[in-house]
Amino acid sequence: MSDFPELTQAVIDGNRNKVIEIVNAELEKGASPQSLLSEYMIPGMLEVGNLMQEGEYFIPEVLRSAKAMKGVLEILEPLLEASGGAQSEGYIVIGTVDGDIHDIGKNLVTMLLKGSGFTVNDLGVSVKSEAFVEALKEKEGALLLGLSALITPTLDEMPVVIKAIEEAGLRDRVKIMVGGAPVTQEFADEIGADGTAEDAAAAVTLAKELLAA
Amino acid sequence: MDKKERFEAVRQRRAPDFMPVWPRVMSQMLYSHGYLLPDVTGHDWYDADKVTEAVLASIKEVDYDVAIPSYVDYGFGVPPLGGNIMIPEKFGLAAGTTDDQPVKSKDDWARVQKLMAQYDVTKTDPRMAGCLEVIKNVSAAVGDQMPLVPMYYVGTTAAMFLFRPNEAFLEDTYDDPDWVSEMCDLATEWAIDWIGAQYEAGCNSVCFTAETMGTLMLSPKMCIQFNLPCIRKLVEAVKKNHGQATWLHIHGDMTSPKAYEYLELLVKEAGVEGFHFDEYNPPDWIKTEVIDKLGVSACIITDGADIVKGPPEAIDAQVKDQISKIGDGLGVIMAPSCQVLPATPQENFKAWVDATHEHGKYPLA
Repeated sequence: MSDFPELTQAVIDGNRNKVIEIVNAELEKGASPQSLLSEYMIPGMLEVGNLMQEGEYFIPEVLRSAKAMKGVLEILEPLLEASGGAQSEGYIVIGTVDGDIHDIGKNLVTMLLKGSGFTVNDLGVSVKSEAFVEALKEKEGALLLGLSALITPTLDEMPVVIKAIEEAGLRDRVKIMVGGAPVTQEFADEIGADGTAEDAAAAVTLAKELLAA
Repeated sequence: MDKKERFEAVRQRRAPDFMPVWPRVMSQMLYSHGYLLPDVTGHDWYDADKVTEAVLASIKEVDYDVAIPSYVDYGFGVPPLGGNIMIPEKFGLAAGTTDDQPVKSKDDWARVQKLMAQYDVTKTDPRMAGCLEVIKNVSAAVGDQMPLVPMYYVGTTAAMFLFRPNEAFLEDTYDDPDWVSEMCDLATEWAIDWIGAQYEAGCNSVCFTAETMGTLMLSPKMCIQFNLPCIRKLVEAVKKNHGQATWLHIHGDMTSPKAYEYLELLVKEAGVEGFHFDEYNPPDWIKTEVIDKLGVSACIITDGADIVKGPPEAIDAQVKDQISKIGDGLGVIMAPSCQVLPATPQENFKAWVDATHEHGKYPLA
């Protein structure tokens, strides 16, 4: 017997059809879209992150849960917009840095962040520093930036982006997290990033911590 | 001892004169020779002369003990099946697949199966033909002196690279597991042919196959379900057709009880002779839990990031520390993790090889 409510457990199980079925039924009964999202579904994705960190969940399981979330968000988002917009955990611009075309890690972080209630602007791969700056300029207030790299030589691009953000006068309101297989805490400190995380699930925790700081 | 004798001693878990070194892989030797990937390959071409030059220069300059005698990548075989590959313009470990893979939906599967039935691994993809040409050249130049290992993927990794977009394939593992098994089986048959062609071209040592999803991406349960039967089939075919054993490169932390169970099955049921892990698995664990308990040989892994970063003195200290943790060191070969990526300073890589040869003199201190 699961300790989680049925909807939360369906997200954890990655059961897209069941998630949609329950959400539709609850909406018909008058449930609030925001409460379905924040009280049932986001806790489900947080548990998915925990299970990943514990070595119980791997990529296919995370993908299934993320796809279940995506499916139901297509239903909920218009309703949330109509009622003034969803409450977001925060806004994050993310991308793989210029010269690097690897995206599995970045995509995984993106899925977990979205599933955990963040609004994510994924700029894709091989993103130039100017594009990061432009995307950050479009939003007011405190922001997060996630920089990803797999290929060691492209690590050099990370401080280039950070410098561009400083020169654009955005650094005070942008927390920067860096990640990817060759990224170490030492490297993150050295280039002036605000943090790095060992895996996608830890990246969600870090994002929350950085925005709360 | 020459390089062949040195590697043979490791395989038999006897003491070599000093610890041999496994090579860096894929584009690393090209970058160190001043080439970018678009200089040597494209969607349907492969410059065998340039790659031969880079491989031989790498062997000569770095002096490692086992060679992958060509540039092999994830995109081999894909264009003739109707997929697109991407050649990184600047940095990249290898040419790779894109979302524009041959099997976008199950409707494409019958067409691709037909193409696979007609596939001649020596001719159909000019990139693979070029790769074989390099193996012939390298074999003629150094094949009498050193172990040359054929290389390709197996099971889920081979199936994903050949057929399906990454995310779709990973979803298939739940949505249509029978189809995944079918794709893995066909990809492994193809891999067996491709490895056979590399032996025909001049490879002369163990088969080096890779299961790069490993426990980094898949649960041990899924690895056992999808990959164990394919690896068993490949090991048997390589032994039967070429009289050679198989070593497996596998990603992920193998130290958990469930992952270790998979490892045991790879040895006892599939017949894997040796392992090349990644940096998640510490050298003392590899020596005691893998080499000594399972009775196989294995690479201990230097974190490539340390080799990239250097300086040579730090690399030397790292190698010395690793070797101090492996007791008698029998059955051990030193290898870099996959993170020894393009543009690693040549002096750092050479320092790592030299440090292994220096601190790895047998009997180990």
